[in-house]
Amino acid sequence: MIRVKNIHIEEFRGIRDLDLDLDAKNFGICGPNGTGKSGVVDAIEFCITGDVTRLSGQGSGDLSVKAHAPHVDQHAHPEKANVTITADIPSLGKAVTIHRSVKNPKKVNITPYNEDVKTVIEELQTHPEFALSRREIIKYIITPPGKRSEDVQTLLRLDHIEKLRKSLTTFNNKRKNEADAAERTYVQAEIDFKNGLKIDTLERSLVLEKINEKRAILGLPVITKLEKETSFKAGVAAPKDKDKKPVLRKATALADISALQSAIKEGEPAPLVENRQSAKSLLEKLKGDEKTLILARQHGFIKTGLDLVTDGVCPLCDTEWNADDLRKHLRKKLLTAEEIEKLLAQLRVSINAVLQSLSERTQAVERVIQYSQNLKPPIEQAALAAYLKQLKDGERALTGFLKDHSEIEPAVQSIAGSWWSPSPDQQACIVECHEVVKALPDTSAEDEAREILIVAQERYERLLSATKTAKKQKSRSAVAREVLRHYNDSCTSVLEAIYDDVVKDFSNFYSVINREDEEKFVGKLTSAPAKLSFDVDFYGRGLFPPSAYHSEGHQDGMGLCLYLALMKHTLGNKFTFAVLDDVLMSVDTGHRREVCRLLKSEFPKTQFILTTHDRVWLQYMKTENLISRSQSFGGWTVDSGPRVWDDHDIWTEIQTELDKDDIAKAAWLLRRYLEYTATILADNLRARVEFRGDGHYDLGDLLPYVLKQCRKRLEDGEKSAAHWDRKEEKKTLAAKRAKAKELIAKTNVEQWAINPSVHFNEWANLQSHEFQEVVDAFKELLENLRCENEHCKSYLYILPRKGSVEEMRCNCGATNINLKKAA
Amino acid sequence: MASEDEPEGLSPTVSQVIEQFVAAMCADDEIGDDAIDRLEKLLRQGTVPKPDEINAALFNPPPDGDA
Repeated sequence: MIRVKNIHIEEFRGIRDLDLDLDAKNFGICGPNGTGKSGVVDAIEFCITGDVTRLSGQGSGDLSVKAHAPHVDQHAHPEKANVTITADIPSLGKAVTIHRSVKNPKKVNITPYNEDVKTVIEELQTHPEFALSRREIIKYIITPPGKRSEDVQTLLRLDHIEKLRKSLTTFNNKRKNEADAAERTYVQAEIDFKNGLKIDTLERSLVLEKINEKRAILGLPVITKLEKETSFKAGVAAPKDKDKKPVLRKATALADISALQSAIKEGEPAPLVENRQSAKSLLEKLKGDEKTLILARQHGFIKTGLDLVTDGVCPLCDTEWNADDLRKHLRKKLLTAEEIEKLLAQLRVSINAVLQSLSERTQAVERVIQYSQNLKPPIEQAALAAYLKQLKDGERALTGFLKDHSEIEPAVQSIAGSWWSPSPDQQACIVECHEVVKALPDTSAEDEAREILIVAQERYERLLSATKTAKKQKSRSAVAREVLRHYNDSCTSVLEAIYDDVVKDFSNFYSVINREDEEKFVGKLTSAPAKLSFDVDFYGRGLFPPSAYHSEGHQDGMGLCLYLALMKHTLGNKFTFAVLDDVLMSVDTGHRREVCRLLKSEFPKTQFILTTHDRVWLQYMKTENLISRSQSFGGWTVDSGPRVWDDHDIWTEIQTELDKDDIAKAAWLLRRYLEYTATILADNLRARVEFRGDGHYDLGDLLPYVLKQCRKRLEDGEKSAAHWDRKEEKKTLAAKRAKAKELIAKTNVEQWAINPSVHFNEWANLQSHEFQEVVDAFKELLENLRCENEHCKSYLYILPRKGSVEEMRCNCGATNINLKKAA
Repeated sequence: MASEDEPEGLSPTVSQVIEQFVAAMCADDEIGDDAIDRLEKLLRQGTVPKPDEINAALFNPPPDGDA
C-alpha cells in the first residue's frame, strides 16, 4: 500500500482547484457539511481506483463517474477534471505519482512505472474499502447476519467463498429436483407394469406366475427366473400385421381404463388429501409473506432497504423517519433464513407427493385419450383433453415453484382445488371409451396372451430403465448433498478460525476505546453457511446483537473496531492507508481521545485521512498527536469550491480584507475564526460555559468564559507552584498571567457584557484602524495561548479530561503547568 | 493440496477452504476419487465454477484423452 504525500485536485466534484499537503502523515479534514470534505475522499478513491462509489455504487441510479465526477461547470469537459496523488510506497522505498483524468477513468498514469509499483497500485485497486464512510462502516454492525456475511467476506476478500457456496447450492438443488422427478417416473412405471399384469405388488413370484400363465396359453416354456435380461415375449411369434400405427390391445386398454375408473370411484386417497392440505397451508403461509420472500430472496430489496436505514431520514426523498421503528418493521417482514429453509423442506415433501399423484393421473388420462384416438372411428375427447390440460398445468405450476420459489400464486391455485375427480362430462368420456373398447370383438385367448406379454415386456423394460435412472439420480443427489455439506463444514471451520482472530482484535480495540465502562467487553462472531452472526457483551449481562442495547455512538465505535480488525487480518503490514469519512460522528467526547490513541498505538504504520464536521473532534486528533496536519474548510461556493480555512494564514486573509477596507468581511472572518478557536479552547481548558440545549454557542457564549478559565488555570498553576515552593515557576506563571490579563483587556471581551459599543456585533461598524487594533489584540492573545515551541504551537489543554485537574500542557510537553496542590 | 503455483486471484483463505473441503470429500466413501480430482482441479482454476461445470466434474467425466 501507499502513504499519500500530496493530493492535487482540479475541477472534481465540488472542488475547483485544491492542493493538500499530507507529507505521508495522518491528516485531518474538517468542515461543516457541504463544504467539500467528501469531495476530497471521492478524489482519492477516484485517483486510485478509477471509480467513485458514491456515483457508481448501490442506489446511484443514473449517476456515472464520467458524467458527474467533474465540477458541475465542467460536466461537459471531463478532461478538465483531474486528480494527482504523490505517494510513498513503504514496501518498495519508492515515491510514486498517480494521475487520473475523468475523461478516461480506466486509464491511470503512474510515474515512475515499473512492475513493482504497478503491483502495489493494482493491489490497492482491489481494496476500495481503504476509503469508508460512516454508513459503510456501520453496515458491518447493523445488517442482518446474511448480509453481514457477504459484506465481511467481501472485505476479507472471501467473496469467492460465498459465490462458490451459491454455485454448489444451485448444483445440489438441481440434482435434488432431478432425483425427485426420476423417482416419480419410476413409481409411475411400476404402477403401469402392475396394471398391465393386473397385480398389486411387484413380488417376483407373482410376476412370474402371471407371465407364465399367459405363456402357457401360447404353449411357451416357463420362465423360472426374473432377471434384467428376462424376455417375457421370448418365443412369441411376431405379429403378422407390420402396420406401424399404434395397436389398441383390448385387454391392456380395458385394464388401464378400469384402473383409472376404480381410482376415481375410490375417491382421493387420504395421504394425497393430507399432502395437498399441508402444501396448501404452507404455500398460503408463504404467500402471506410472498412480497417479502420474493424481494428478499430474489432481489434483496428489503435487505437493501435495511442497509439504507442508517440515518433519521430517507436517503431518497429526505422524509424523516424513526430508524429503529423502520428497521423493526422491515425485519418483521422478513422470515428468518432458518424458518424459510424449514418451511421449504416441508413444502418439498408435500409437493413431491402431490406431483407423484398428478403424474400418475396424467399418464392414465393420456392413455385413455390415446385409446380413444386409436378406435375406429376415433372418439372425440375434448372434455378429457381439457382435464389433461388441467393436470399438466398443475404439474407445471408445482414443479415451477420447486425451481423458483417466487412462483407461489400458480402453485397455490394448483394445490387448492382437487383434481382427483374429473367433471361428469369428463367421466362420461372415460366411460364411453371403456364401453367402446369393451364392445370390440374379443380377441382369442392366444392373441390376448400375446398382447399382454408384449405390453408387459415394454413396461418391464421401462420400469428397469426408470429404476436405473432413479437410483442414479438418487445417488447423484446424495453425493451433491454431501459435497455441499463438506463445503459448508469446511467454510465454517476455516472462517471460524479467521473470525476468532478478528473478534479477538475487535474486542481488544473496542475495550481500548471504552476502557472506562466496558473494559471487559467481549464480542462473538458466529459463522454458519451464508450468514455471520455478531453478538457483543452488554455490561456483563450477556451477548446481544450490537444494535439491541448499545447506543449509536457505541455502534459507531464497534463499526470502526470491526473494520480495523478485518483490515488488520486482511492486509497485515500492508494496511498503510485508510480514509475514514466522518466515521465517528456519534462517538461521544468521552471516547474520542481513546479512539485517537487506538489508531495511534495499534496502527502506527497506517496513514489515516480522517474527515469530520466537528472542529472539536479535529482538535482532539491534534491534541492526541494522531494528526500533525489538517485542513479546515470554512465554507463552499459553487464558483470557488471549498473555502480553505488554514489557521496559519487566517490573519493574512483578514489583513487582506482590511487592506481593501472591507471591514465587514474582515469582521466576519475574525468572528468565525474566533468561534472555531473558542470551541476548541473551551473544551481544552474545561471552561464552565452556560449550557445550551441546542448546542449552538455563539462567540459571546464561549469566549468570555474561556478567557476567564484561562486566567484561573494560570492562577491555579501559580498557587500550585507556591504550594510546592517552586519560586521560578511561580514567577514565570505570574508573568504569564499578567500578560494574559493585559492581552485579554486589549480585546475588550470582558467589556462585552457592559459596553455594547465594543461588542463583536459592532465590529463591522468600526473604522479600519479601530478594527485593526481588535485584530491585533486577538492575534496576540491567541498566540499567547499556544505553546511557544515553533514546532508545536498547540493550544494548551487540561489533563485529565474528567475529575480533579492535574496539569495544563501542550502536545510537545515544553509547556507543562502543574495544577495539583496536594499529593 | 495447495501448491506454490497457486493461480493468481485465489486468496490463501480460499485455498485453505478448498484444501479442507477436498480432504473432507476424500474421507467420504460416497464420493469417487476421480470425481474429487476433477472437482479440485476445477476449483483451483481461480474462478468460481458454474453449477453445470461442477456437475460435469463430479458425474460426467470427459472421454479419455479429453481430460
